[in-house]
Amino acid sequence: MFRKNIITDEALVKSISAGGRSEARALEYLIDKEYPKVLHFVLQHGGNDADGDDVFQEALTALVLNIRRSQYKGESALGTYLFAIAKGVWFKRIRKTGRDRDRDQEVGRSSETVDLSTPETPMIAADKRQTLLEVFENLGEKCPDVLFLWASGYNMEEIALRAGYSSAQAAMNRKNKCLKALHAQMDDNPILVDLLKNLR
Amino acid sequence: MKNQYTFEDIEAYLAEEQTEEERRSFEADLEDDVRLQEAVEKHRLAHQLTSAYAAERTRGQVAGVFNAHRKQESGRMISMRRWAAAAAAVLVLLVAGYWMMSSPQQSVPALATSYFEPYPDRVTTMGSEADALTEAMAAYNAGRYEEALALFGALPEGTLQIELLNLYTGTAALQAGQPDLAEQALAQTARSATAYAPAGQWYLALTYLQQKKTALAKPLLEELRQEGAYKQKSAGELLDQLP
Repeated sequence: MFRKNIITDEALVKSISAGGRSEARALEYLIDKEYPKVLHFVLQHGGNDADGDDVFQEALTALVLNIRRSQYKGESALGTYLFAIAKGVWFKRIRKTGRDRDRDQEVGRSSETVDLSTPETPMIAADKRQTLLEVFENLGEKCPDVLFLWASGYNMEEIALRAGYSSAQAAMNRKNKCLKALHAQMDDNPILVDLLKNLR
Repeated sequence: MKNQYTFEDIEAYLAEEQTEEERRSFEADLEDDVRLQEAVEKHRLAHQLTSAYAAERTRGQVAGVFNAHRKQESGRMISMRRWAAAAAAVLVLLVAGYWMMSSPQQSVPALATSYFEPYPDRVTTMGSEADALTEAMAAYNAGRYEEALALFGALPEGTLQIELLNLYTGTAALQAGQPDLAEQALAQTARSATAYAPAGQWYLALTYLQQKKTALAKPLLEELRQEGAYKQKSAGELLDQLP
């Protein structure tokens, strides 16, 4: 077994914000370091391996989103923060199935330093997810990327740079154009509005 | 709407990019204008949809990295297990090989060969048959056992004491790859009441071992060890190594 280099939280946050291969490497590092702990926790609390995979991915997704949106302030170690999110995800999941007896006590303990209230964090049912993805993919040239970057918390300068626009204003114009196309889709496709009610 | 707010105006309001004055004016209109309220609500829903889309896309990215990395790790584990299995197999083969090389059961003929030394030349040649016997013993002493066998067989009767002649014939036959002849000749010497009988037993035991007839060899070796006679030490060592 080879011991991997230790990467600081600061470097991980920077890599995740940068996106691309740098982000993937940071995620791989977090998977190696934190996944076993989350899996152990889930197994200890009545879950199985598949639950462990789901919970960890859900927590990692929330972590990435929070980092991109600058909601992670570095007040706790990244691993601790990720683990706390994972515990919250797991207890939320078992609250639905009523599998855990001590959940309220545990949730209170795990959530004290982590804000898990981002509205889009909950997963969407598979069929609705597909509809959502298809709608955005068909909004027009570069719209999926521009809206993804904008909703991920990047400012217009960064969006211009990443999406290949000459200025922040050009990126802003594109963003608004894409949003208008989305509005048109919402008029034509009321299921999109209903979709938001189906967040679980 | 009282004022014709543009799409961009509403976006600027939601993004908190208006001046304080613009915001106050906008909110005053918003309070009274149902259509403006509906328009702002629609913008908020579009933002939520966009956020949900970003989250789903991020979820997909994370899942892609997670699954690929876990698969890679799993592959490494399998690879490591394969290497470990291969190493274990090699180790087993080495141990088995060593065991086969050192195991008495597998190396009984080899063991017998390792203890073989030609019975020494104790012949004193005299008289008219001396040349033929000398020639035969010369071939025997030189390790030309097939030639020696032929010469021993051609010796006139009475040239050499029959038990001694059988001893030389038997050992020569054993070395010449004729175990049946060796067995036959040596058995006669071993059963004799002569001084050559212990030597006959010893070489007969080696002949049996060459043929993997361990059960026949053991009583002969036991007898040699117990009596403290010819080849006592070698017989004891050999017995200890036999299965």
